[in-house]
Amino acid sequence: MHEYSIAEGIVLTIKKLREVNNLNVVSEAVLSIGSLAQIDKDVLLELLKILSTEYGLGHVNFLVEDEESMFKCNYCGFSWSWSQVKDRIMRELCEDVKDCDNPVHFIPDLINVFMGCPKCGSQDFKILSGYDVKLISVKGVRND
Amino acid sequence: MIEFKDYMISDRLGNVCKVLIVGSGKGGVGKSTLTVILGLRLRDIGMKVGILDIDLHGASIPFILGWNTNTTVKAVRGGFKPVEVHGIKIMSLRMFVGDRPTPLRGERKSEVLKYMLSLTIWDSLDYLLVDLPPGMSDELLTLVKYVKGEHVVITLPTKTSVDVTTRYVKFLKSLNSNILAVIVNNLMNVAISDEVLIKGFQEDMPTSNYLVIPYIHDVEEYLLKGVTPKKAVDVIDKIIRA
Repeated sequence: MHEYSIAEGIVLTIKKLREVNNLNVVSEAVLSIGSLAQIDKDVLLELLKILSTEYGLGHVNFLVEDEESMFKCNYCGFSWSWSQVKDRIMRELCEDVKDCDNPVHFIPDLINVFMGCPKCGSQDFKILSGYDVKLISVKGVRND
Repeated sequence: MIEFKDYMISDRLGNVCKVLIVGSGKGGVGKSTLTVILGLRLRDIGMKVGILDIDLHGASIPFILGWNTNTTVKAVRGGFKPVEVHGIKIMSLRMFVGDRPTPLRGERKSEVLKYMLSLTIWDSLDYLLVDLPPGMSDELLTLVKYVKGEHVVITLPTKTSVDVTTRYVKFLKSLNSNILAVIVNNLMNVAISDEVLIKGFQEDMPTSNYLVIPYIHDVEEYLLKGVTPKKAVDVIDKIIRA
């Protein structure tokens, strides 16, 4: 369900960019999906396709890049990736439910509330990369 | 990179008539209590009211209104629905983190707030009340960047509180913000010295904008039951009419 909100936000943004930049056609949009956001890529792409049509954008070619989430502890300096800890954290967040709706899926920036540094346990760590869904670029053809 | 949450915020607040931002700069002066009393009074007079609790480290609006903090937020089509307690819609980080501490640094706080602003589906509201944390940090700076609202400032009748709150008022004035009123919360039930207030604010606020909220015995019990304390009604009505 959360994928719908993300898709709607992206399509609304592209629509606004089309107006502001006087684009006749939006041909391509590049997205980056951080692994921490736990986004179902196929569902997101399907929703982007449906909503692009609903919002009058027509066919937009959506290209998606996956970005691994990386962290660095502010306390001990240790670095780690989401894939190294994902199974354990997801068990804590979702118990036995696979891919459950959870606070980190909704707001990835809340990971500090639910995870500690694997080395020292501190919850004071930086997210170096891959924490969110980002709209990287939009290509189109101008009216003039 | 294009920040899509930025574009969603104005869309989500499109059906909100008026935003009142309750802040102080100083902690422990009664911001959340005033926000809830304001919300209850507006509800009493038939307004549709929402409260956005952006005190990310010390979210307390759900607790004050007696909401079960173990309940977590559920996603709906397009975002999150606020919960309704005593006829007031509320959105708070407590709905995401429950009773866990929230050790978030600056940039993370701004992003969390942007998510709350861009994904909360308020539908139509007459008033959205925003409860700020103490200080003039990320929550306030991010909020005023994205949300145009009017400000209600609250202080205790003490020199220290007035000193901090004066600087908060100066900051709001530097943004050309509209300050509806400065509320003096007499929670210690003492004789209020006009000198303390007038000296403190003389350059920044006309004295006619001070409103004193009297000491209310058992205020927490009133709010837990969703009842507007009678002693606060006059002051609250003046804020609403300001």
